[in-house]
Amino acid sequence: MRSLSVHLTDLCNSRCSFCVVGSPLYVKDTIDVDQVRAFLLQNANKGFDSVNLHGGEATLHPQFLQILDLIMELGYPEVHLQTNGIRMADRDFAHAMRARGVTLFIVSLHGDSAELHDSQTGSPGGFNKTIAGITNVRSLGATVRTNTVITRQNTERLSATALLACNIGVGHLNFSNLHPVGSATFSFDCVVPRMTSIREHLYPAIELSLAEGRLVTLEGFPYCVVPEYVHLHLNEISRQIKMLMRGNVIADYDVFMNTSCRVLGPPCATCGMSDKCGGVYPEYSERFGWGEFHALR
Amino acid sequence: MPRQTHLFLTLSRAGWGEASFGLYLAEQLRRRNENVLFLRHAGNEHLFAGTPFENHPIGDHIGTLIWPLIKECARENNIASVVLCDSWTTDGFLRRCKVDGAVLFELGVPVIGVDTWDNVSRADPIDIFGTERKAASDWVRRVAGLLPCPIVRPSNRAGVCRFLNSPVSLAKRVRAHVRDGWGLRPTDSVILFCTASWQQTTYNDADGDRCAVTFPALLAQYASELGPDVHFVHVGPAPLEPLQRIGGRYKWLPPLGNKFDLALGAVDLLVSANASATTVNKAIASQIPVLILENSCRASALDEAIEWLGNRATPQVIEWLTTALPIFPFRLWPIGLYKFITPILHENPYADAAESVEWLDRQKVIDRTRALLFSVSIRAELQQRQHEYCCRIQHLPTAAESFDSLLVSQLCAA
Repeated sequence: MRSLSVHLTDLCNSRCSFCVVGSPLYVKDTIDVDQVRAFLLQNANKGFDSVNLHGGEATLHPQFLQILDLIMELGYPEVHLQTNGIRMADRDFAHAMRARGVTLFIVSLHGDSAELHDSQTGSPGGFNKTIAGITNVRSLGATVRTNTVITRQNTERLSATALLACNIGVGHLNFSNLHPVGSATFSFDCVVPRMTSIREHLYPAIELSLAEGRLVTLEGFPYCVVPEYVHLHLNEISRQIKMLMRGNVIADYDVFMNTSCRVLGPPCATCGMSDKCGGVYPEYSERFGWGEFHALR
Repeated sequence: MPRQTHLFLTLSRAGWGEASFGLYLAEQLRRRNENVLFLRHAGNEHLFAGTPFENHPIGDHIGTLIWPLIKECARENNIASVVLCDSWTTDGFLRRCKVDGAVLFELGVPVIGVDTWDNVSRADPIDIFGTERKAASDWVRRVAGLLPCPIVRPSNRAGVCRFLNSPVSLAKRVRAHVRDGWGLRPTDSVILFCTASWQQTTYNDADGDRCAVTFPALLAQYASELGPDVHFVHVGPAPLEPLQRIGGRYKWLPPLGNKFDLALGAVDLLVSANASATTVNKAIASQIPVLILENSCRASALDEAIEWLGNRATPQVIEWLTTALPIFPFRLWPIGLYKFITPILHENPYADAAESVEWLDRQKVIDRTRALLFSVSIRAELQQRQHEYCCRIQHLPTAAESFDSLLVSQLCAA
């Protein structure tokens, strides 16, 4: 699968304590929408299967709907939207997005209750809107994937969060390893869980979701942290993502992440999977060392 | 008009301050269409990432090859001047390379050197780990000195220029987000303490190494006295283990690069053990209260230290002293430079823009810290002095203007 990926805005109406792009640290948008248009034009009819819009919160961009129109005009087969789901609670807006070809909504869901979700996203009332938004777009025939970033706050509620997602018709659940950059630069101590504490809660959540017939993927985990579920890792899926990020074009996002955002350490030297795995976020190993990681095969 | 190229040398391993000033001046020259080429220490790579300047890393092992390299760069680029981003440390680097810095004059172009501590012309000895040493080689006194203010006293002397960092000002919600990330409640206060790699290393000097190792223990003791609502954010290459005793109120962050301003802008007070730190400069420019910890006590034995302390002696400090003696004066922990920096601070308004306190005076350290955190009027008074200082500095020539004057005077002299 080949997709274009566009960071449409730095701004967001959530204030996630672990925001990977640091949206809550921005007061002005740095994105040049003309650059976005040019990127979409340059890559039209070049075999991309989808355009993935993200941010910040892409739906807040004042020209969001016009960008969707342009994507349709240019003939891209599908539009995927990464969102906190808050604006999807407005049924007219949800309809407008569906009418403009958004087929997949990738919605951030960081807990199974308003208290847990909203305390991490800094958006009181956000949880209820997100759930309403998922229900809205599902009723309009769209596919929904949730993305749950694993934090110290939600680790023990992963199964409950997965169950909630299944109960509201989510077909695909993605669990992400927290990348401690952006806002997590400052909140590291409060939000980053130890790798060794994740598995006992993540595995039951995966098993529950699979038992419910859902698709499950994992993102950003060193393979040795989830050795029994390596096949669920996004790196195992053949894909090529070309990304426009704050004026820079990243030709292959997965290669970029493996070569620029992760590091290999002593245990990786004899690991047979280090090429695909890419290693550990350096911000994590800098704090906690390499004791939690080991070679596979 | 043909573009001139200037060769900047910033060669010290942990010379964050000198590289910062070099980049500051280089940017001013670039804006008027001049080229700057850096030969920089390999350890300064992160400071140059994302800058528009051509720069070549130099390792400590380069030895005598440094001179042919400088000569080749000068010839290939037809340079108009050589700029030593710090005269004193450049001299030190060249001496370690077994190169007599006087060869720089053979390039036939003006040699301009940043005289960070205004010491080159004075040729005062420098106190390092309590021992006085020769500060710089004689050739350095022939270099035209660029005198950045701060920390140099503002005046109309040739070479004096303003070096005030851009103020940091965060939007309320950004500040709140950073503080939330640290786990602070709205009523909590937070102190920032920064260490550079040269403050958390070993020097092969027993007194210096002991000073480096024991300092954090007393700092932790003071921090533990500040109450449950005062947090301590430390930015530095490694955690300060003794500070762990204050539990979750101690937060260690590795060096933040371009996110440092977000941390500085989110705190209530900067505490520093480096009187001339660039972070102090930035805090003053941003009107963030600053407390500098310095020590003027020299003592080899406990009774000497107790006598020096007089009625300021406390059981906690005396207990700490048993692990820390002998001690030497410092304004740059753990190196020293107490006597060396003293003349620069004399009648220098910089000294009013940041408060200083004797490190061993436990009660005073705690009282001033509390006052600068909690007293609205004391904070406002210091912020007013910082504002006045910044206004005064604003009237000085820019770094590029002073650089031009020195260049002209050097060319005329030639």
